[in-house]
Amino acid sequence: MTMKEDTDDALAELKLLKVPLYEWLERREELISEAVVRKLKLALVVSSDDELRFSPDDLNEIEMVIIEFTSLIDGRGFSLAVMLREKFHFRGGIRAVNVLEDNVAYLEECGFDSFELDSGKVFSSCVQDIAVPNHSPIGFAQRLNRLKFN
Amino acid sequence: MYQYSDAERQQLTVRAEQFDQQIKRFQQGQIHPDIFSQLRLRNGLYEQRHAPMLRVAIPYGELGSNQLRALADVADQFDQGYGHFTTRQNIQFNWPKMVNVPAMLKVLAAEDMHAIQTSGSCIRNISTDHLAGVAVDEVEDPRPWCEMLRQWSTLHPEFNWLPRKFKFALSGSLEDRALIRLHDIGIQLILDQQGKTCFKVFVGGGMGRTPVIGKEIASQLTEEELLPYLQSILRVYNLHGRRDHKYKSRIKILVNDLGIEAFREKVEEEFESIDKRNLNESLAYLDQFKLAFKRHNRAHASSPIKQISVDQPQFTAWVKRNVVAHKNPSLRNVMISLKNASEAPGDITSHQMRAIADIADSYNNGEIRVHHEQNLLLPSVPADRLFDLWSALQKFELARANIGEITDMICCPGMDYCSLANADTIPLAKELNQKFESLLTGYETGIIKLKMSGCMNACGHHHVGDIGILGVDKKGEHWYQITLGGQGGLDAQLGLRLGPAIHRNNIIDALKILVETYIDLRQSRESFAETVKRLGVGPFKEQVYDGKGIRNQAA
Repeated sequence: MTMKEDTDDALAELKLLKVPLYEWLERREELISEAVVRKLKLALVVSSDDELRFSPDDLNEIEMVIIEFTSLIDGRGFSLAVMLREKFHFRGGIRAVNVLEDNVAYLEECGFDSFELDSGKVFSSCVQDIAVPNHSPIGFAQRLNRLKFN
Repeated sequence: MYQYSDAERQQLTVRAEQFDQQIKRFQQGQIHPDIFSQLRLRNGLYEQRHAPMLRVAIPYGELGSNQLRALADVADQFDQGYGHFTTRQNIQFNWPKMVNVPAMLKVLAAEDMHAIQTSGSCIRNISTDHLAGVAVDEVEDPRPWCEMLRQWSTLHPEFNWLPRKFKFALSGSLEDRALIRLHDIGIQLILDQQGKTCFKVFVGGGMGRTPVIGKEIASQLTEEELLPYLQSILRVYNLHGRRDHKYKSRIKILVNDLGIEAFREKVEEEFESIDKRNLNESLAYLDQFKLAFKRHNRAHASSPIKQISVDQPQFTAWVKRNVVAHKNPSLRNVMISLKNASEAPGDITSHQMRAIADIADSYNNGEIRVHHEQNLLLPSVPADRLFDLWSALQKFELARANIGEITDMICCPGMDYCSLANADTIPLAKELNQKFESLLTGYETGIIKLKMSGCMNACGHHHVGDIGILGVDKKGEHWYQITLGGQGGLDAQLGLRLGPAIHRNNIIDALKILVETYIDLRQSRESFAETVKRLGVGPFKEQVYDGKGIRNQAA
């Protein structure tokens, strides 16, 4: 088991100001001020069918990106996380929402570090250095942990 | 052959255990049936008309004799004593029980085999030329690259939930024998001016209900560019491929909708940002892969083959039809036809599997290949041992000399097994065998590639047959649409429709007329395909529908 249930998660959750992507793109400055006033951290909510049309700088103020999967068999969110890490060099948290338990290890390898399963269970990863996805194809041994998860 | 590392072996066992757990969770109601079906598909398990079907991966069609014996064991222990080779070089078992599948997977895992990603919306088995490494016209052996792609695509974290299935084929020869332009991605190995390996990449090819010939997306990628470029193509497809409609979700639809230029632009934009260093760590393993496939084909003295053939016309016919030249002049590649008159095309009994395994051990170091036309190949047999080999194969009804002929048809499982099928295919194949046996006596009809699918999904490759047959359902009756002039290869072409669909009762007659028309119209040594190319569909259409006139209706 590579995951732990984080008892602090519920508390951390209360400290987030969750902002949908379109709203963030429309009134970024306002939202930053609002977060400061309310002493909250900004969490950007992205749907797996959104396109990531912003620059890496747009993510400077973002504590966490929450990727909501439109369905359990929608693979787009996997690519979005990889792109956040590789293309936008995002080092904050990336949460997967509405995903299968069986996919958690795959998600982890794409750069996600916390998960809200379809069952509602929420937990975060305790794997170190997750911010750099590893795509080396000769990674069979490394991928073993993905299978051992269940 | 490539040998698995201990880590890979361990992985297969773990995967089988994981699937066992998933089945148990499903049975306890902890996994929704729709989700479970996705998980079982990624482990090769289908639901068919009568029973589940397990498709086992044979990476790029290469099998060791021990693996073939393990497949025979699986057929005996968990199925009805036979298996079926597919058009993507895999093998299917038609009668397993779902609860036994994890146990089957463990038997397979012991010989480095599995069913991972043999179905579902993910990257499927990598296929290639059945003559890889032994072809006379080979530029470069594609198998080390097949192995690289196998490792890259197996359990790929990003691409396990694509819009639809995704198929790769590679070819390293001048002639493409792997249908690379009819795959989601087709890769041709070429050499640049300095003699370095490069890759020409085709994208968006495929058969199915919307057949499309793959378009060239990159003319000459270097070794360092290949994996990042493929990763970019897959990412663009994963993000932008349609997910709203099953029949519009293959990459060919996306490429056609965007146009190849716009699609290429998106791919190249992704390519810029991909971490190439990370991906290319795998190139360090290339030499190891190359070594694994290098054969030390010792030269063998040729013995008087011709002398034997004088006394044995059957042997002569078999050599002519089933024996293929080898890049080493003292070796031969031997095709084993799995198209016997009494069996379904591509079917093989466990008894025959074991026989072939033993024969391979004594004639060619135990190496067996699966051809996408549903036959087997024994590569690198010493030329002076052909007669002995032929005699050995004959004992097991494995020496039918019909490779490439009309009776060597590709055939999907059709109504006998598949729940998608509209029409019979296997019974048609059997009837064709019976009727054509007598018809063809005394005629040299040469190569006629007949490819038959029981529905529009085109598993029987009918779009690229010299003669293609597509089963359609009309008010519960089986009708068949005929196409002519299809072909794979670098200059791939889709077959043209002959005319209205033909009723089950008349289809064999129609095929007979097609062959007779060819015999009437051919010039000197012209093949069926060449005659169709020269004359077009017209004269054949005329003969089938008007001239010799079949009565095209239900009896």
